[in-house]
Amino acid sequence: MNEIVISPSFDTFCYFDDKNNMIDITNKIPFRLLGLIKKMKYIFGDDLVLDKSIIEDVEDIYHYIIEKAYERPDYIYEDLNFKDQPKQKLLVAFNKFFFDKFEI
Amino acid sequence: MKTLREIQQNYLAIDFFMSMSCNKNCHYCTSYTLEMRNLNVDMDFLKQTLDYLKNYKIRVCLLGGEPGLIKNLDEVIAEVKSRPNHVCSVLSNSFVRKRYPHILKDPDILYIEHNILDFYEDRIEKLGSLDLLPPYGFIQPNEYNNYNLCVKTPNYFKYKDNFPEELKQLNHKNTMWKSFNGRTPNKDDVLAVHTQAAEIDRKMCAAFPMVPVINFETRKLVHCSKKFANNAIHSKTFDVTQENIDKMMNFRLFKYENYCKTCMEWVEPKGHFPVSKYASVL
Repeated sequence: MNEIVISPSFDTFCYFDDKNNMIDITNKIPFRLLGLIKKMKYIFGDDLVLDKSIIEDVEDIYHYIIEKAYERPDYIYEDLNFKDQPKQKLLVAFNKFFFDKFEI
Repeated sequence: MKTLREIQQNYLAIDFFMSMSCNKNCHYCTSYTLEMRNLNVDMDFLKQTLDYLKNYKIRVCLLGGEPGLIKNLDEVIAEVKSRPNHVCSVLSNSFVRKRYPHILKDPDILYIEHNILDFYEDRIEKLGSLDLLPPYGFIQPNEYNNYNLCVKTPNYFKYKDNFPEELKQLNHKNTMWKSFNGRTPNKDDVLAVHTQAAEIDRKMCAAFPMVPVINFETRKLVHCSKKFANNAIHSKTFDVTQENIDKMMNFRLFKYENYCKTCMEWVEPKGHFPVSKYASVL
């Protein structure tokens, strides 16, 4: 499983199995990770993706920002305007964090 | 004139330790010597360093040591102010007020007076400053970007209620309070005020501390201003080069070091910097 499809309302998460069946995994994602995903809307908006294949090396600070958001519910609470490149690196760091914590 | 809030939100700070010399020997301080040395800043080194930093929004914090001892401080400040991406900040024990009083009249210079107040049951002693009486008492409310910086020592919490009049003098928009630091020789003093910051906050601090240092005496870039001369463990250092400055400013130079693991400096639980600042500077 490389990619998880997120519904526009961020309340359903699915992936496609080997036979292209859509499998709902919403209930399998830990509650704290769901909370983190919802907070990521403030950074990525509709550009948020869950895709293991985008993971690459980025500077530690991007991992730290994601970890801090996971640790503290009030760390990210409003829209943030990161520039394009830092935003992409944050997306990478977020996906790394997510797939480290969640494996089907 | 930029407001303190604008500066804090949009600029990363770098301490310029111009000279280690100080006219005081405050017990909390990590970076001073009573020996008077290097009191003339090498303008070539300063200009070269500022050239390396020219593409970055930097708050240049002039200190040391005591910046009021620097003989060419006006020249140094003029050079920093000539750089459009930089804000000039001066941190003094109040000696600047005596020797360079015009600095306090320039709102484009952020002037911060470090008032370490030792509270006792019957009195307050002001360390590292001239005295509590006019004309060198506390900075009063003003529109010139002049601020008191006071440290909440363990005895502050113990005895502050004994001094309502003094604290009233400090209770205004031009006073900043900060938590007691981990530089005291007695760890219990720190523990009386705060616990060690969470690891994630120490990691974020390590990636870009509140204030990395340019040490003008050794001409090195220093990771952490808190692990400096008068510490058992010293900070990692780097050559001042364009490559290292670029790496630092892009959060690629500094790592989570062993001394970060045991560090007892206070870090705001809400985050080393607010996340909106990262959005601004990354």
